[in-house]
Amino acid sequence: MSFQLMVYFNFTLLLIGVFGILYSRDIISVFTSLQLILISGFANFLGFSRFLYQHSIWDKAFIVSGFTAVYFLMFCIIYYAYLNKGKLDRRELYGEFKFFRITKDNWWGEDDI
Amino acid sequence: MIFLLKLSEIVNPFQSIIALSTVILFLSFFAVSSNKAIKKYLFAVVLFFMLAAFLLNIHSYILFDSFSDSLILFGNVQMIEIGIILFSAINVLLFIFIRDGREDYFVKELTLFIFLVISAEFVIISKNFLLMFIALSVFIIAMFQLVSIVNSKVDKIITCTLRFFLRPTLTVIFFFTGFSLLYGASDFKEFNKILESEHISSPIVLLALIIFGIAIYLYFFLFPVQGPYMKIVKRNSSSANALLWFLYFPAGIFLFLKTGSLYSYFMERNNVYGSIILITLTCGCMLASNIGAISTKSPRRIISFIFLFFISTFLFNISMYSTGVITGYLMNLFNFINIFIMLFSFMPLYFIFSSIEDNTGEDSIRNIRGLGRNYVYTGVNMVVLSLSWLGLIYYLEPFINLFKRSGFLNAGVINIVLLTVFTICFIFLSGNIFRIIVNIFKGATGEAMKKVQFSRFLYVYITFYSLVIISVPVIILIDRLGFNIRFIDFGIKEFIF
Amino acid sequence: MSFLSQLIIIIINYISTAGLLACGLLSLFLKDKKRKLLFLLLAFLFIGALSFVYYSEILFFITGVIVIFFFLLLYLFVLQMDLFNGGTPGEADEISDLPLRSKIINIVMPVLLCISAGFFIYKYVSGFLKGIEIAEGRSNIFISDWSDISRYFFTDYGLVPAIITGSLFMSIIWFIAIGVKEK
Repeated sequence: MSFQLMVYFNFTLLLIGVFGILYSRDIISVFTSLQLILISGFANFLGFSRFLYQHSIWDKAFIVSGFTAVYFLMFCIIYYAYLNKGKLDRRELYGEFKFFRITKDNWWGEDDI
Repeated sequence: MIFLLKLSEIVNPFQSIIALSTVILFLSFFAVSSNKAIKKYLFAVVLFFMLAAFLLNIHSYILFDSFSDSLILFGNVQMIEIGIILFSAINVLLFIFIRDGREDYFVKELTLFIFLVISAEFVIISKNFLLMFIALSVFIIAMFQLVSIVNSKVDKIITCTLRFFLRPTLTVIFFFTGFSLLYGASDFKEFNKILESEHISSPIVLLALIIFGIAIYLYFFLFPVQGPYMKIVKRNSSSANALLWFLYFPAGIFLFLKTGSLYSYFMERNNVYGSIILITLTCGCMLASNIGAISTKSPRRIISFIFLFFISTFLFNISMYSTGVITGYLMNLFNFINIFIMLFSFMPLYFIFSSIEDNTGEDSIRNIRGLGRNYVYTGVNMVVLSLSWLGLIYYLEPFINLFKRSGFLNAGVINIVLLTVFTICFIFLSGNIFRIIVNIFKGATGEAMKKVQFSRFLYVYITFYSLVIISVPVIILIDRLGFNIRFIDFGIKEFIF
Repeated sequence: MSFLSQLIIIIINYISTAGLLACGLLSLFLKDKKRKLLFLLLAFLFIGALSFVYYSEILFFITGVIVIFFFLLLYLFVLQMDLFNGGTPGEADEISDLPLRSKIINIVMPVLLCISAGFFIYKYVSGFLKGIEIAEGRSNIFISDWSDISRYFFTDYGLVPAIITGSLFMSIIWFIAIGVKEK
């Protein structure tokens, strides 16, 4: 695969992830989109390392430590939701996680809760 | 003494971090304790070590000067930033002790809190992309864990917490992608090295910067993506709000300032489209946050909207720099002045509002009616603290200088737009300040006000901040009159960013 | 490298990129949560194949260990959501069904945004990418292994594993605090 094709493919993955974030409503779809963006970054590192920097270890160290940190962060968030699933109702889990919702209470918040 | 000096030289510049890590080790012995006396003792120990870390930070810089290696950079800017973080942390520690001192999870909360401060310090001193990314991720992890513990007794907060922390998660992931692009553009692992190299003109670097910009924008919950922030602020416990406002946002500001040199490079190249987009976003943020503050009746939300307005003044600083109204030096100076105003006004004000909310059980601006007559001292201090926001009037000076240099009509449409937006926002801000002051002194004392009782500590706390705020215009006046002020061996005029 | 080996690598490259794209899209658009996770896992397997192609297979194994913990928890969470809500897949989506106009806006706006971003990226970057010099000596393959990475961490980047380890240890306190509260 040529270098240009590899870069365009990675950007496509990134844009698919971004589309997923804008489109998704439930928490699982949001995490799926986040991981697609992570995969595009991973593929970027692999591709640049292969084509441009043959003997670089830095990118591998970045991927290992970066993935550890990011996946641990996502693990903590899912663990928190998993422990508190009894207090979450179906409507919240399946519909409340859209990134941009243009409703009054999402835009300005509410004075009375 | 010589031994301590030698030890300090070996561990330089991690003296404050090691001091805090020692406390974590000490706290681990008491992790499951719920004894009241032990909690007070541990709070005192943590407070002592935080103060020690604050002093060690300054002392290590004075003694050993700047430090730089492949991973970290500790210069005068980093010393000030760490000082600000430690100062905020001491205040948040006081909040946490007053609000959560009786809870079972208090010792665990303290431990996580200190680790949060350590990770914030690593965010500030990191120079290498890898360390910067890891420090940021660990900071977000620690912040999420601490906020979730602190909110454990709050009702209906879980969805808000999850929605809020998905944004910094996305920020971290965008940073991962951005760093992968920077790696593709050049083999350099620091922003300064990329700035000095030929690769700075690469479109991939610009793309990475755009991704960083979007990531930081999402991190700060600026308009139009402020929804989860507005929801969580209303529902959070007081300690969680203090954590967000006085640790989460300042750490993000310092992270943003790291990328400032790269953005400045592209601004200087007169990138018209970038300037227009930036100015549009800035104007939108500033106007929307002020309108939001005027339209709400909840003091928490008033403070949160005005806080967002102050965050958007950082964007305003970049906008002014991009149009040539201010220089890079002034942009950095304005950034630090904004941080100073934010921390020194919001902390005591929020302390007062949260005390009133705790006593009355309600978060409404009606509860401060008659405060000025029943608690005159507190009322006067609130007026002083609110009026400190008018300090933003200094933004007019660069525009006045510009008009003197080039004339009003030749100043450029964009500069006139910036000035107009700032003036409108300043009028709204003044309206908010006036509204708070009027509510403090007007109207009959409500039933809610009769329930309010302020502790002695609160009086000492707000006095300190009021005195600092009053001293600032006094010092500026003395400086303008031509007296050279020397304070701990450096003069105000000589301090260089 | 022989012609056959190069051909095999090229074929694996194209299969894994196509598989990655297909699995990524499927995991995004399928409504059943379990199938979403399944295709996401398949996407990871394809990126693992890609890492073999790019001579960095050690990364797949190391990150796989990390990722598997996350996927296990996510799968348990999805299972519990289905059991707890007692619903068939997709039933919850019918509860908050949006009007057609909102659905169209929900799809069209992100698509327009992503297409325009993609167009600008292509226009801006294509000229630059054509001019990039690929590293000489591509025929010299360098395959890094765990000893190279660990040596790199412990010589130059010792702080990084220290910070991550510190975070993991601190998180034990959080896990205890959150778990005990639940009881």
